[in-house]
Amino acid sequence: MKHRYIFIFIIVFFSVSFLLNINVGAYSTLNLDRSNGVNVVSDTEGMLGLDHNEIVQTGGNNQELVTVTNNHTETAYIDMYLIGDTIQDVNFSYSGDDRRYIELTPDESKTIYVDVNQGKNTAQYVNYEVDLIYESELSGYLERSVTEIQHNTITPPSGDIYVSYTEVGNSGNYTIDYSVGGDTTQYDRIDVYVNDSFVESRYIFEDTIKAKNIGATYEDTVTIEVIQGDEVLFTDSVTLY
Amino acid sequence: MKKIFIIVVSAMLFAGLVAGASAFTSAEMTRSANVNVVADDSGVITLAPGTVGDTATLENGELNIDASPNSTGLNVSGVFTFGDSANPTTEHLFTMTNTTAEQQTITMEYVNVTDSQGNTGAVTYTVYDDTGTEVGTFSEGSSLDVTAGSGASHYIVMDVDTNNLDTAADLSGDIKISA
Repeated sequence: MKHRYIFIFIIVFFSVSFLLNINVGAYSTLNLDRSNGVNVVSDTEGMLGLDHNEIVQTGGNNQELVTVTNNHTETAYIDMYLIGDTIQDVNFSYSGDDRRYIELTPDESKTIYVDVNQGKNTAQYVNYEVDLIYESELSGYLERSVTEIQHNTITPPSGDIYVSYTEVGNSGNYTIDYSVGGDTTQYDRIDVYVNDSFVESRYIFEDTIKAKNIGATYEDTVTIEVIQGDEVLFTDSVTLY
Repeated sequence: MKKIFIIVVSAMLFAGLVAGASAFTSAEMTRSANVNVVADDSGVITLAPGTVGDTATLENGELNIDASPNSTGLNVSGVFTFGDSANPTTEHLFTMTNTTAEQQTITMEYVNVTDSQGNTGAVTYTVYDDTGTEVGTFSEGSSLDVTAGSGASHYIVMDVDTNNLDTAADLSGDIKISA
C-alpha cells in the first residue's frame, strides 16, 4: 500500500515537471538598476555658478568678491557668511556686516562686494561660506577663500596745520589753515575738532583749506582727522598760543 | 510485487531523464505567461520621484535621477543634500514601496560609479521609514537590506560631497534594487 503511494507521487511529480516546466524561482527575485547622474564640474559651470575674484586689496571699498549665478531650475535662497578669524576688517558692502542674503531666480546673477579695511592682516585669507537652499529642499553649502590679500600701494595721507593770529585792538582772531597730502581718492573726508568737540567735515580737498569761524581761541586745541569709512587714516593737532 | 515495483520505478526514472534531456536539447514548447510591464511608480517594488524638483523623474516609466538637471553638474568642493533629513517623509529624493502582499527584504546598492576618485562615500543615500526614522545608509561599495512589510514605503535622501574631488570626477552610477 505504501509503495503504491510512492509510485503515484513519482508519476505525478515527473509528469507535472515535464509538462509544465515550472520555474519556481523566476518570480521570486527582482533586480532594478536606476541611473543617477552626478557630474562634478567647476564653479563657473556648477549648479550654483561662482565666479571668484582672486585678489582683494586692503583699504578698498566695494571690491568684487564673487558673482553668483543660479544655474538651477528653481529660485535659490542664498545666505553668505564671512567665516573664521578672517572676518575682522572685512564686511559685505551692501549689508555692512559679515552676512549677506541673496535671492536668485533661475539664470539670475548677482555680484557681491566687500570692503576691506586698511589694517587687514594680509597673511589671513578672506574666507566665506555660501549656503544655498532651493524651493524644493535641495540644499548645500560651499566654502571658498580669497587667498591673495594685497596691501594697497597708495601713499598714506599726511598733513599740516597752519595757525595765524591777527590782533585787532585788545583782541584778535585765529585763522586755521591746514593741508592734506597723499592720494585724496583714498579718503572720504576731513573732520575738524576743537578741544575734541566735532566742528565740521570737509569733502573738498584742496592744497590748503581754511577752517573759518570755528570758534577756536587762545589755548584751544585744533585737531584734523583724515577719514576713510570709519577708519582714521591720519590725525594731527595744534594748540593755539 | 516488490520486483515489479522496482522495475516500474526504474523505468520511470529512466524515462524522466531521457525526456528531460531531450526537452532541454530539442523540445519546443509554448507557454503563456502573464507578465505586465509597468512603470516604476506602479511596479511590484514601486519607485516614485520625490519632492526635490526636477531632480528625480520618470523617464519611459523608469525612475531617473539627474542631480543637476539645468546645468552640467554639481560644484566641486561642495556638499549637497537632496531632501531634508529632518523631514524625510515630506522632503525626499524618491520613495520605494513594497506593493506585494508579503514582507520583502530589499537590498539597495550604488553600483557602476563612473569615477569617484576613491571617495566611495561621496554619494550617500539615507533610507527612512514612514515614521521618519533612519533605517540605514548605502553608498558605493556598501549595501543596505531594507525589510519592508506589505504596503510599506521608505523615503530616500541623497547627500553628495564633492570635497576632495576634482572636475574629472564623475559620481554617476546605478541604484541597484533587488529583492
